[in-house]
Amino acid sequence: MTGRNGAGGAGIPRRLGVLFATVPLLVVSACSAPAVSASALGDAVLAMYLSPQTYAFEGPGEVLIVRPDGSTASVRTSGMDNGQLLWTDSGLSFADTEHDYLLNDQLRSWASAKTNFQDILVETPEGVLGSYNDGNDGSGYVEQVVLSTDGRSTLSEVAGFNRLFSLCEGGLVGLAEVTGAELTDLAARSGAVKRSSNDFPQMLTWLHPKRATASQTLIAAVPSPVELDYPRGLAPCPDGVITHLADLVRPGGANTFEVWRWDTRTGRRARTELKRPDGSALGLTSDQFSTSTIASQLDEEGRLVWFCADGRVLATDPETGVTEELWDSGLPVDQDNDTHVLFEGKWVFLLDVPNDDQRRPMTLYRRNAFTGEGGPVVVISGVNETRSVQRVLRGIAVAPSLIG
Amino acid sequence: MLKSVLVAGLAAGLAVGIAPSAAAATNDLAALVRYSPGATTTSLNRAVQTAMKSTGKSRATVIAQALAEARASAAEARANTVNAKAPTGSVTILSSGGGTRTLGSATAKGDVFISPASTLFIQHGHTGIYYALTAIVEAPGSGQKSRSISASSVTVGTGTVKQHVAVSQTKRDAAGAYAYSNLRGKEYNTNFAFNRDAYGTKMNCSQLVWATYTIKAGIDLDSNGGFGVYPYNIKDSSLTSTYSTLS
Repeated sequence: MTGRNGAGGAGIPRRLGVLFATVPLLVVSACSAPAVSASALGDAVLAMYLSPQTYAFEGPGEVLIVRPDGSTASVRTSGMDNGQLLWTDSGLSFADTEHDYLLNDQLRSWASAKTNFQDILVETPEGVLGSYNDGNDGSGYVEQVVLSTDGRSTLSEVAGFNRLFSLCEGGLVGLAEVTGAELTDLAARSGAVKRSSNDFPQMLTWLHPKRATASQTLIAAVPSPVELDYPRGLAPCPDGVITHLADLVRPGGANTFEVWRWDTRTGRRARTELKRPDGSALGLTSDQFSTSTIASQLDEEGRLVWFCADGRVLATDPETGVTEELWDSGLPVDQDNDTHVLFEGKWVFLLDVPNDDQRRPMTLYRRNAFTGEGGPVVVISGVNETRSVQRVLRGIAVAPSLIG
Repeated sequence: MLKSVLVAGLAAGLAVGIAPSAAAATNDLAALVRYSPGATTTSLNRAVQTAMKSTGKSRATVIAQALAEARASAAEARANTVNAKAPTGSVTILSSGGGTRTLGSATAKGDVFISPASTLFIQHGHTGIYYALTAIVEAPGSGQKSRSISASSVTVGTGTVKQHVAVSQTKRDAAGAYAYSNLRGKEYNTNFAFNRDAYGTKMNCSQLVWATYTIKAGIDLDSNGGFGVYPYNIKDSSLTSTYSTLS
């Protein structure tokens, strides 16, 4: 399993910036960690993006590089709500509201003005692709898609406030509630209409490469009389079929958890309710389910592997919905623990972030995604206690050397 | 205890109708600007003029009352911040850190949340309304348009509360639907001190929640009835009740 699938295509409508340089001036020392030096990534094993929540957006963001001994170095950024990281053999990629960055043996950045809420950052054959939401312009939500290649970035805009993403056959796909004038009209032909606040019509669209028309952009639209929420993660898309989890939210906690498959070639969607091997319900709360994380590739048996917010790693058969426990990490995502999860290859990396006592350090674990075998990689002191709504721990990335 | 003291003190100040001097008014206006991050002296002056016309009160009195309300709001928002460095369960004034929680879902549409202060910039805290069980409408901050967003994507400060509003679920549903349909995409209003405009072209977080219930349920969630409605005015309203605290 890996999130480093390929994508392809072209059609970039707007070029943002071509300034490309090493940028020592942008490297500013943080409060507690020294600035990233010329040695840059070096033997670092972990990177973390800390950034303000949008409503606290006066503060800067910071990318922390963690060495094997737990020491840190930092790169200060202009900030990015939900800032994401991508660590490939080319280096560590990240973005803020003004620039895109690549950190390897040196830090390079180039102009790339964009909005301040990031959804994803993925690698494609063309370069690094980021998606950002620019909010509601009055007629609908706007997603900014930024492609960074060889020190310059280009931005295109599409309608949507996407809650789920997938890399499919050379393109980036998003799942969102129907929005945007043209897509709303098109979706209505499929009965995907928001007549009241109890309607939650969904649309699956191509985000990149940008299609020329709305009809080319829209893959599928479906009505939903039930509120929907989706666990986190880049959904796998083998053979053009996206597989992901969905929470059908009902008052009183009478939710239904399902696995969905979208065929991007036909627009057809298949839904199957999740169940334990004995046929009983999973017994999770909506918050537990929606804060779970799915892996970006199916396993060898075609199952969707996911980290449940109760701390267990589960595998779901998309055909039957049968979901079995693979192992239990003992690291839940709840009010006492803010465990961050990263599936990479056969591994799952778990960053234990104690919430109940922020004086406790963070610990990164590497475990086999299927068996749980493995152990701690690094203990990070001095960071957990600095978390606040100005320094929310966002995306994490691990060195490729830990994945191979 | 703190809540009652703050509210009582503010109410007393408003009721007595102190008449500060012109010099004091100038100082108070400067202080009010500091309690209104992003707002300018000019914009607050315009709001003061409007308030003077609508209430018949003097400029100095209007400014003094608005300042007293802003100070009370900021004090309560900071007092509700749980310092993560402190022993579990204790509540102290924030120094650094402060801890975060994922907002998560509500138990009913139309519920509201109030997050405590964390910096000088967000010294009055933050609030928003659930238009669905797992999604909110909020005015997220300066330079940002109001939006809907999944509650699992929103990080709030430790000490955040979720509240029911004491109206029928039909009205709560209507409030959530109104916020979703009518109050997204609005520019941010940096003026909290004089924000009781339910149909403002710009809106801040507490104004959006207050306006929603004013229009769709005919109730006033501003607990002290001052010139501004702040997040903790909504928390303190007799029409809201806390059912969950993210401690």
